[in-house]
Amino acid sequence: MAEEIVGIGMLSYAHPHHARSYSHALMQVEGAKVVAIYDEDPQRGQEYALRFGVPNFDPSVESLLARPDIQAVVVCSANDEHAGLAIAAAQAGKHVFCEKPIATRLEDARAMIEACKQAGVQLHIAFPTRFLPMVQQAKRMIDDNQIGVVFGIVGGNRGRPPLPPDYPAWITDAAHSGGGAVIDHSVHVTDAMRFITGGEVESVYAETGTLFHQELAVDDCGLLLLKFENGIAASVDPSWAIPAANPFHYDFYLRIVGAEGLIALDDTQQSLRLATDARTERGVTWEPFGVNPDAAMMRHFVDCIRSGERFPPGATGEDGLHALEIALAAYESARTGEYVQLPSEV
Amino acid sequence: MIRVGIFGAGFIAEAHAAAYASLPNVQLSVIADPRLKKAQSLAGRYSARAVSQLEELLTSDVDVVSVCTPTSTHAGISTAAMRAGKHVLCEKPMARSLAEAETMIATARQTGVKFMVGHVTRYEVDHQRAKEILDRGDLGTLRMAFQSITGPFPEWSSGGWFADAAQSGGPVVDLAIHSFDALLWFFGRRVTRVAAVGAKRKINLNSYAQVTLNFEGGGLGLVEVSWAHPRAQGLSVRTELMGTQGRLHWTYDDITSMSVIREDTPRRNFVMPGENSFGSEIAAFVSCVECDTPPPIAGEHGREALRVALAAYEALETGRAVVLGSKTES
Repeated sequence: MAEEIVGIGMLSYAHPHHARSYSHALMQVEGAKVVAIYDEDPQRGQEYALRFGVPNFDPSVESLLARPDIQAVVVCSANDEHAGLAIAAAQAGKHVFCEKPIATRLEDARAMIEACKQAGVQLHIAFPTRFLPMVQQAKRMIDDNQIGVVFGIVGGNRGRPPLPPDYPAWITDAAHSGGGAVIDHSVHVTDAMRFITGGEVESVYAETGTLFHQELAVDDCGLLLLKFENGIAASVDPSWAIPAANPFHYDFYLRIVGAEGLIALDDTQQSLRLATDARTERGVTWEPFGVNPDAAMMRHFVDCIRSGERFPPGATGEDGLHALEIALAAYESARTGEYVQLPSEV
Repeated sequence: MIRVGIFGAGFIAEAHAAAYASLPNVQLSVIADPRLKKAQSLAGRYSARAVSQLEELLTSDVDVVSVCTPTSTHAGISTAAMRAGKHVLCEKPMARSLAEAETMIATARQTGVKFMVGHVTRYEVDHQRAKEILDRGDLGTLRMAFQSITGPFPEWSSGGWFADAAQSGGPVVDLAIHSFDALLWFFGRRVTRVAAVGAKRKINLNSYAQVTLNFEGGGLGLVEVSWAHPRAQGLSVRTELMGTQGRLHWTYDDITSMSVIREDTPRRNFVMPGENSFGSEIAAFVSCVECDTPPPIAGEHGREALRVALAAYEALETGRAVVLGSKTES
């Protein structure tokens, strides 16, 4: 097994940005090859097959999953379809890499975890912040007690609103996405907090709103207050609040304070400041040079499959479930005005 | 010539004294503090008279009194001064309870004197510039605001009253109130709901907290406050405003125009906004006394910031969000 190439099947390009990034990353991974693409939009799927040099386009999930030269799949469908595709893949004996959020409902997430466990295949969830060097460094330092007992974290992953035509319409349709900014972005931050501190969230309070683009039917902003079992008081800003003119479109930051120090992480800082007359719009942009974590994340997925076992830092199905649970608790809190205790009974 | 007295000769009185002394038409006449030695020490630097009793201050010919004592004494001293016909500038938080705040507002109304609450953040030039930018529409409608105000435990409270929650309310009242006032000022709208999480470190009160604010008309705020940050950091303030059309963001580190590094000492950044804010605040108060205009930061403003701070304190104690009633409730 360790010497063979891992054959990969792409299941849907419904989230084109992520699916393209993974396709591109997999081209760089020795020991892996994307053998086939399935897409519910055949024209889109066939175009990507051409673009990424993938030899096969399958018009059905079943025909892709029947391929003996595929050992694993990458799922980038709309959020509400993750479970169906992942479970089918597991039942066909394929390892699964699944976009975030793991699913839109806790029972679907649990079903995915169970199906993969029963089939003896691995389930990886797309939390690329675990592959950022700064996050791994922070985790090592905190594991090593270099800032003492952690008691506070301010975290955020803000972005441009993912509106058509740049983004597919399902992302802002709760029936398919599970919600708006809170489910879209909070999962990255809460997963990173869990990863770095090893703690679990016991209480969630949230405010949400549709305040920046009031025509949307989903939340485009929010603030979460979290209390961890180990006493950490944290907040998460997942908002789609970055204006188009901002020098960066997304950010990811954690400001972690402990009894003996603090660590501040901010991925936008790994950038050069550029002012140019070469483009028609005036302004300064921040040109990032940090390593793309998707490449490391795909390489890790393939390595885990080749070695036949899970090893850190990739996110498991359980990690995906925890992040989803927090996001859904945030929605419940925003609805009721109450702090929601975890784990929930759902 | 406006004559001024200061009651309470502790840490913040020095900033008041320096500010009054810098104004040409103002005479700093009396420094009062039951700890007479402290009063004498401060008075001596400004050729003012030192007394130990409030009564001596209130029967003197001062026109204006600055109240610079621990929070839980603000109401009693301020109302006594107002009833003695003195205009009052009271330090923040204006009081330790809403009932006390209401009494102060009512007394000001009854006596007709000028009463201002010292929310000095409004006079820091970075905050003033932010307000200008907001007012001219560059951010569109303000929808989210953040302020983080963090530092080590402040050692300057006499007898350590900061560490006594009954007196200070902890940092979520004493320090975060700067941010609550700033956010109320930026939004220009009421807060309708407050929630908080916190951590108790080193002292038996929440020395670290994060507070969410829900603003009427659609707006969210987050305030991080800490008396538990590393001493080496000093006081750090970080602010971000997100509107429908734009984003404004600055930290103390960003806005230091002067930085000094010497052998064997840590880099020292000079944050200019802090230098003149008390001067501007006190000049504005003196001006409203002289010109008989409404104080720029009235008791009602101080009360709203206090209402939010006390709600945050309650949210920390109860583990539940606090819904704030209508403006007419006390």
